[in-house]
Amino acid sequence: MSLLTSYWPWGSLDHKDTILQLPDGKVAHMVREGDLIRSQVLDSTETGDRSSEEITILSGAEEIFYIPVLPERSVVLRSEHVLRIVPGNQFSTIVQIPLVPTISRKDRKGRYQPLVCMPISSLSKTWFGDPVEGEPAFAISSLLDEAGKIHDFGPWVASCPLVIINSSPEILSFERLILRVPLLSLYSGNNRYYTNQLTVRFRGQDQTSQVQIGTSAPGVDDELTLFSGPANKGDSRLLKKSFSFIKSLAYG
Amino acid sequence: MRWNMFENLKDNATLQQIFSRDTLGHVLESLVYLVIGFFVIRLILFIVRRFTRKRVSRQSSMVVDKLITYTGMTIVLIIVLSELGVNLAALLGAAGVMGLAIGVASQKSLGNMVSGLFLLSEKSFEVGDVVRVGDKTGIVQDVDFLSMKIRTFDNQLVRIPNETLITTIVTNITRYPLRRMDFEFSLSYGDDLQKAEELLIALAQNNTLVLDEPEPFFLLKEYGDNGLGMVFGIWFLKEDYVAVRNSVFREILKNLGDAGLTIPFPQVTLHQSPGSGELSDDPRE
Repeated sequence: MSLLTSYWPWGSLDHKDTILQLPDGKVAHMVREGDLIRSQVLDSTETGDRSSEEITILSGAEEIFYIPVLPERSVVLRSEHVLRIVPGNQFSTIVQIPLVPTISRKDRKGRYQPLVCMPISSLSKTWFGDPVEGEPAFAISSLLDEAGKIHDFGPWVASCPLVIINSSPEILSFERLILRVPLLSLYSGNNRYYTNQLTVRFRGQDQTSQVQIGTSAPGVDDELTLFSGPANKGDSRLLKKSFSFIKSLAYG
Repeated sequence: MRWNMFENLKDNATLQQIFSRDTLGHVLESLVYLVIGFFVIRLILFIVRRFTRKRVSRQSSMVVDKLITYTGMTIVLIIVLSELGVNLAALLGAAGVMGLAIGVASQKSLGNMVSGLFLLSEKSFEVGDVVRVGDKTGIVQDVDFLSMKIRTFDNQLVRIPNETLITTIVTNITRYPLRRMDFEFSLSYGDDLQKAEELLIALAQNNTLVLDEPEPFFLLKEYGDNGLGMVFGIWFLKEDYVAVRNSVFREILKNLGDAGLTIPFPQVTLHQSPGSGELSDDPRE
């Protein structure tokens, strides 16, 4: 049985019996028997509880990898404390988007194709927008520290440089922002993952905010290379309101 | 003179006259038109369905299908009757008189058809939606001009006339992607309400099927006879209904029980006033 390095868990799965590290201290057990791959998440190493087994069938000679992917849905970012941006000012931060560990193969074009996606608990389900026309998404909260103050990256997150510009005449009281993760690419380098830089220009509550997605690797590190492209090419309908000011629906 | 099939069915017509080559030829032609007409209708339906598959809803597609089918069949019928030599003008004339009689006799059906048109234009439900009509709940299978058919969850087919739908409350359970589930229960007087609220909110946060937003809410409802009534509401995606209901039900019971909180059952406390003597064990007294 092999165990990938504790700090950087990602890599090629050459062995037939492997313990895979997951976020939150959990592990998954993967066994390769010829054309069959059996994988199972151990819910609790103390009790030995296991999730149901997943079986994947592919060619015995095909190479498989343990790699991260960005979440399949958009992610709603909430601030853990009040953030206000005065008109004409901007705020830069780095959002850490949890990565989903996968067992993947490469297709003919060299792109990674996930076979098994491991569950992660750091992404909870949420709803963005009003109950009739909104959309399902994942939720994360952040302290929204200034970009230069963030140093702890780790292998389980992709760092997304985010710039919020208040181009409206009113004070932007930041509540939540939706990050269109399926439109982002993943870049890797120096044992870190990054996404494209996002620049969000707030024009007022009644106007659609403008979102710019960087077309290349963010300038935070010169040694970044493209790891995987966006899951979605992009749709103008996705670039609708990014900000939402939802009041509690129980109290109106 | 135009050939007329009925000319051969006069009194004293011989079998040879009835089944003459001419007659058989026209009948055969009519059958050919019928078959060709059937396939042409099917072909048009196939093409239209391919075109509308991803562009319109299932319900609209179904309505278009029915329109094409009924119109096509009417045209084919007219062609076949015409080929058989039936005088369509006379038929339509007779239909005018008969129409009055049919209209009087089929008021209900006509009412259903008119109601059906209103329902279709209203779009308060569509094929695939889960609706509740009276005590019947099921998935809408078909919305026709006369009735709506739903398939109940125990796999029964229920036909509901459109006139009934127009005059009844119809609840579309799955119209919106998001739903809220309210759990109403009581806690014993004397239990820690703050603790209960914190437990329930934490329960919602830890359940992966419960949405973070809209946020779950906790409401103290009433001072009940047996305990303090409260409502705990959580939001979820409509497709997770059963899983959410079962998991949250279990977790409420477990978490409250683990924390020493109790959901009371109806009970009566007797207070005996002083000087009234001891209660007798004899039920006759």
